[in-house]
Amino acid sequence: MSGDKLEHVLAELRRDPRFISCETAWHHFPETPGSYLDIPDGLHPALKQALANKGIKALYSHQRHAYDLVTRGENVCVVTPTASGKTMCYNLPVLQAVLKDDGIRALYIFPTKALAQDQLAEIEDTAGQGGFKVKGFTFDGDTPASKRRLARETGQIIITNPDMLHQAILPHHPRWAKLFSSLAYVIVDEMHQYRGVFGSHVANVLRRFKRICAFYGTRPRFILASATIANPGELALGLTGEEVTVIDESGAPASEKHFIFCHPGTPDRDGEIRHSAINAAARIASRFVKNGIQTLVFARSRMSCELLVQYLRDAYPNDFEKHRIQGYRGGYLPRERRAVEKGIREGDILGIAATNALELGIDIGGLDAVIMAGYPGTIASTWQQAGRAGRKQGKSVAILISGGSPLDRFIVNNPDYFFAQTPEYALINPDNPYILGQHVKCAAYELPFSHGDGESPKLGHTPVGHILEHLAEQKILHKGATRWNWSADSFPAAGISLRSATNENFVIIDTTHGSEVIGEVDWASAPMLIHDQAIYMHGGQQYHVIKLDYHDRKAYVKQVDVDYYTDANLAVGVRVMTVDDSYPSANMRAGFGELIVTALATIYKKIKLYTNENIGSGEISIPEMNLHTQGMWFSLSEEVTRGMDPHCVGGVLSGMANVLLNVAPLFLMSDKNDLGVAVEVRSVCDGRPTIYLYDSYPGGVGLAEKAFRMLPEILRASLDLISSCPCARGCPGCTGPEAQVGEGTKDLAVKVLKSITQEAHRDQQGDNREA
Amino acid sequence: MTNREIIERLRKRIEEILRQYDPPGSRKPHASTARSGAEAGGGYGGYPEVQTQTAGRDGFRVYTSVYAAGANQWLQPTPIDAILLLAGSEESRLAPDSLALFLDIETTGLSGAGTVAFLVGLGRWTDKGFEIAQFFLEDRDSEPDMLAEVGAQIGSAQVLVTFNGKPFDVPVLQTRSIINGMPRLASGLESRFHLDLYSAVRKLGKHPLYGMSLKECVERFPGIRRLHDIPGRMIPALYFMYERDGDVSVLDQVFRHNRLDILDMVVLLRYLHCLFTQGYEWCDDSCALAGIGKFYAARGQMEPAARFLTAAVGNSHRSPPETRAAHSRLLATVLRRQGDWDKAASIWKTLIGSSQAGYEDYLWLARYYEVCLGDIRTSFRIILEYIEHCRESGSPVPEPVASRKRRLARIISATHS
Repeated sequence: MSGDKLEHVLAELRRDPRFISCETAWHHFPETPGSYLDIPDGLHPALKQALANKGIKALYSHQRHAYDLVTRGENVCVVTPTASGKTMCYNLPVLQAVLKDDGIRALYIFPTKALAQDQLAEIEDTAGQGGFKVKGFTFDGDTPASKRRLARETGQIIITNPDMLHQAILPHHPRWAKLFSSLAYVIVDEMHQYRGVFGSHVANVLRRFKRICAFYGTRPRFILASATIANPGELALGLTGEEVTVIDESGAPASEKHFIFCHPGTPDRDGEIRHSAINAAARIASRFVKNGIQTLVFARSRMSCELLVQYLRDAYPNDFEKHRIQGYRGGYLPRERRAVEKGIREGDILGIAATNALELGIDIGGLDAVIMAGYPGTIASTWQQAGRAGRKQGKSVAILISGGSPLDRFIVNNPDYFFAQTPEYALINPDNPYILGQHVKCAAYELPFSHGDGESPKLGHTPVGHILEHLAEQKILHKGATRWNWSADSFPAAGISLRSATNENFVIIDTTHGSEVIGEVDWASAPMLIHDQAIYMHGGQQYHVIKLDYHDRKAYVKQVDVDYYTDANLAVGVRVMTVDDSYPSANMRAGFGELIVTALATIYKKIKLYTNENIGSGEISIPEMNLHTQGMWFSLSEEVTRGMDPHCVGGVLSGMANVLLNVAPLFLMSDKNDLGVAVEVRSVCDGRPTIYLYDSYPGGVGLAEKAFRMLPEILRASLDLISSCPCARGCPGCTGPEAQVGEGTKDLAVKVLKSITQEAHRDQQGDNREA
Repeated sequence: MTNREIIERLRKRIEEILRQYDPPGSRKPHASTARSGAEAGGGYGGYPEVQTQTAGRDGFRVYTSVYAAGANQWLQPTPIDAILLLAGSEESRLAPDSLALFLDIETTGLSGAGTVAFLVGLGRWTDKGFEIAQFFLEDRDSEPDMLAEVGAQIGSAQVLVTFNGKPFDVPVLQTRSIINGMPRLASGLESRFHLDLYSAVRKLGKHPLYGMSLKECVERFPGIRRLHDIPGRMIPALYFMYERDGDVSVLDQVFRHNRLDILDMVVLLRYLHCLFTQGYEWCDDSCALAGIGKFYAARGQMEPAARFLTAAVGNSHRSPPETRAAHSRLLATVLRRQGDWDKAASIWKTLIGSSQAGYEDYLWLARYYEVCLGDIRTSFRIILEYIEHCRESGSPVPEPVASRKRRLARIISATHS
């Protein structure tokens, strides 16, 4: 039925000249039938019963393949689309094993604790359907002490996250002796999340984990699941250190689907597009919602998410049913989130505005329509968000509306570019000395490393003898007769965080009636969202920030009803603190050292709802936020920029920085998000055009340091990438869309790179001669 | 600066720190309920350590010290019954001549896989007095041997007495056993009958004692003070210093600290036993008395419960009125369960007379009149009185009161008709 309604709205859109003039692509993916295989004969009768009760008569081919490989003792990695029944790929073999031998244990690892509850519910449902019992426990920061003991002693399936494994389970492994000594399976879901620095940490946590398993005499099999990435097998190998068979052919049927790209409005005479993606998304989403079609709108920021809730509610015809429109984002209280998830699953909620908080495996089922208000930033997340559209039966639609940035407009203007791209690589470097060193420390605490038997001690396959020597020099370890003994009154895991973001949050307190905590804002976003006089929006309600108590991390707000929202300006800058190394050459000068990246919220603007008019402004007085990190930079000599239009220099620098951000992660085996770039047309140091590349982690993790050492190679690769890029005048994959960096940038960047790479090359040869 | 000099300097610093923590004579002994007031000087409470002998083994050493019984009024053997009582255990399999072992360990840090128990002190009563054997890990490679020996000692005893040993000392030894591939030892430790004195202390209710360290407990109650003791958090660093330099004398203070902890446990056990059996006669701490009363009541021993709660109410003139009322209410419950409704009723009356009564007190008094005296009208009046209170204060009438009113009204109208 909803298919008919959807077809009706789509037909309306097709006939709407205004919409059609904005549309740049309308892809139609026909329905594809599923590929099914029999339920395995050997499956335990209780599980057969559970499947029968769930109405499952056959397995998708990938589910059956996973089951067969796992029961044969292989490690597998399942890479199939959203909602293709990945969970079954691991639950089936695990439950089968537990039913055959109730002493067997399994560990499930999810990137966030929000996903753990869903998993447990799923397992318990299957057990209930099959009439058997399985002792499953979630183990995370929310688990009460009494349940922790029970989980350790009796849990057959423990559902946790990498952070808990790192800080609570491994350093206390003897308490978990029962789990470790009968552990048969480890499940790593949402594997694609473990990339870059975070992934490198997790790989080391898994190395420590395997070392402890070996101590208890077990060698569990890994079952991994991932969203689509370019290199699932490589990532699985890197994370687990095991040979892993990749299953990437989905047997799940796909229903008919439309994927539409469009601009928010028609370009006016100057070629400018003045409508915002948010207004357009609200307009289009309302059409679906009014027709009773469940619609999810993805916003790029929390602010846009709240604006969308408000716009969608305003447009909703029935005053008594405004609650059928809800928001979903980070900062909502857990119970609010659970209620929205339930509302979506049960169909009570018709319209949802969400941030990418909903992108991750939260179980809300499939929806009829997904609208992306702005390009999600990567090919992979775009597919993932679009994948939220699509039920088992019936049609669905995904619409990508370009936001204001040149990158957005490029993607929407060049749909073929998007559809031809392979998804991004997920790279990790577990041997990064900064990260490895921290985990060697943790491992030495968990179980002393031995020495003296002629073989160098290892973590995973990596020799770590030199790190142990170093820790002994620091008096953290003591070299005994046979072992490296922990020799410090400290608990190393406590001081090592797997993630860059701090957990520090600001609490929002509504003082309209008494005082009630309504939500949280993370530390980094606070200056933008909850400065004094800001309009903070939560669940579609506006609040005026009366006072931000920066010191106590609290914001006091009162409900208001105004016709504007506030938007703050953030001034970002880079300051070089120390120059630890540098080398000059005729055409450039490269340096490496400590940097401070500063972010200061300066002023805010009051912006009228719908029209986006600027109707006032004010100052913000919040301390500057500093990221103290490591960075490298290079400045161009006068030789290089001679004759160049001074107005073009900024564009060329931005274009080169964009290339660098695409190329450097490949050399550093890291993720784009681990790095930051900044450019200065006239640097404070030497007045020359300068490009900075820095680690987005407090203190740095050695990425910029390595980039500094590999700079000539990275620059040559950058030149290679631009020269071989098939685009005419710049694209997101090379120097960036021309609209962003300026006309002729691509050619200029090639010229600049040619001159500095030749120089760098010659210099390096010179060094070799001297050596 | 040579290594030697660095260490000398460090040790001087440690001594300075120690002085800051516990300057001699800076504090007056607390007024204690037991009024024993003994002050610990050199050895333990001024009692010399009678003998110390050292037995050397491979990689670990055993130091033995003996203390004469009775040197301190509390340094006395305590019968096994007392241990059973304080553990709140119904267990009767322990023979009167069972061996109780007092256990306290010194470690390289807080609990976690990397924390090692480098000193294990085991104390027991012998013919010669109280004997403490301290097992010291000279070389970490010998940990399995030392654990095996400690395990054998513990295995030969029937009872383990610790302070906070359930969450700390025993799990650390279990962890070490598992890491050294001795899982049987770990499960042996688990099954040993174990009195954790800290949990007995916690039974004294939300008392100032709650959350105190062993040292503080002993100072507060039997009134014995330690002087020149080392703060526990310095201990790991001293062991690491020993490991690097091999000079065991840096640990003298640690050995002493461990012995004092064990002796304090003997004293605390004796004291708690005295408090739990006769405290109603001499203790004037109403919270502690009420806590003990509750402890007995929970185990169905109403006679001692009533004795302790009576003493608690008698000593509660300095307590806030709501605490006093709570103790009285508890006493009334115990008396009622003993069958002494008359005494219980007089307490409910007093409570209702004061401003501290809750609706349960009215309900119980009404029930007393209805069931014990057969006086339905008075019973009904009491309920109406409470409902009137509710009306005055504008608070809703609790459902149990309302339903009692309905029932009593039915009975009254039935007798009339």
